[in-house]
Amino acid sequence: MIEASATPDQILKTLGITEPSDIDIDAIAYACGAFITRETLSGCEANIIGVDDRAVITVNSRSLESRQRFSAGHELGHWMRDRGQSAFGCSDRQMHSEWTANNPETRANRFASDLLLPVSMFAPLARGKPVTTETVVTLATAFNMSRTATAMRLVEHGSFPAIIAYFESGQKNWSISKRKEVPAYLKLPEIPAPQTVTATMFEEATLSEDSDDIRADHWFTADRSEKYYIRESCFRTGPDSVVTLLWWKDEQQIIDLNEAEERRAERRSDGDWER
Amino acid sequence: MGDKPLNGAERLEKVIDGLGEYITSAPDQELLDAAREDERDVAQTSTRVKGILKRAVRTQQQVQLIAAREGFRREAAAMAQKSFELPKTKEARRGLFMAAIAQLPQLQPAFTLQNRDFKDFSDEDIEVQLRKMALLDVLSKVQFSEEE
Repeated sequence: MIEASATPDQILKTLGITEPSDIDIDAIAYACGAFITRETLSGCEANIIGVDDRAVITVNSRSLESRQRFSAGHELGHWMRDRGQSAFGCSDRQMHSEWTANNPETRANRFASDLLLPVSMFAPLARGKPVTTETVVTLATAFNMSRTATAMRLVEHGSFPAIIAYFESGQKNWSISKRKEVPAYLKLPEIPAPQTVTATMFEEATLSEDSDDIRADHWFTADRSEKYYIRESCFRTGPDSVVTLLWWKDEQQIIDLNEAEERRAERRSDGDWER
Repeated sequence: MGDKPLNGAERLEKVIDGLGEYITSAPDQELLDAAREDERDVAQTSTRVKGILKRAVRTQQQVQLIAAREGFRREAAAMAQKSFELPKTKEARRGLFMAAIAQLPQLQPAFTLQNRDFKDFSDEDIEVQLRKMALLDVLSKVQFSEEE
């Protein structure tokens, strides 16, 4: 049996998995001492009960297959990371909303993502692809994975500067950017401006997805943002929740902001020198 | 002298070893010429052999994955056949479930999000959870009498 301390990468390597079609979550969990069953669950996506070195994971059979896979990976994350706490019950909301806090749910989400969307397989397929819902759907299909988890991977390991945000009831719940490329001071507001696609998604409950080129100042307060456009793509994850992708298809704003920041830093260091 | 005579499998192994050694040491051109003399399509043969080798390497790398797939299938089939000794009435099954939760509080987090006081748990929900507990041999630790 694979040891509890094994990382998702180590698990995949041990099992010789090198292609998305081989990521068989039932077999992987079994190799880790957890047995996956599918049952009708009310009010939660999945749960796990573990005793000693054996666990049973139940996932909601009424959910989409991709969601079931992610839920199973999430519960397996609890089993591999939080062993000793013998039971967890996890809602759909937790699997969408817990991505940035330092808690067992975030760790379980990260584990599931690393296991089911491994960077070694994901990055080559995402290379050069636009950061849009269409790309998310294509990659999610290749990995049989949920759109939210895939979108996050695309932002973190795709080729272009982008931000992903999750909104609930019209308010930002979390956001993640491609850290190396998007300046840290480009922060999203808590409530999207009315001109954004995200705001429209909350106004029009029947819209399942939408996208448009949006003036950057509708999202960011950085200097001269009104001169630039970003691609905004949104998809709904629930009646009152939306995932938003912001992609600098034209990277000029990022380049100009970085240059301005460099100039400011130079001036600061010149001032320090003169003093 | 004194060597045991080889059986069929050992003789074949020897022939294959010898052949492998010859192929490894023979110049590339000699092999290509031999293949052409036999009117073989070298590119096609190369693709076929590469495919065979790739599949063999992959099967070898995935020994544990294949075993896990088989193990999962076996256990799933066994579970479908397995009958658990659960209380006969739905009231007693609910009673056993509540006793398990009360006596093994470490199990509670798995259910708290579903229904905080378990009132909305259907009999089916209860049965599913009891079967899981039975599978993990948790129920044997629970003190419960159907008459209670």
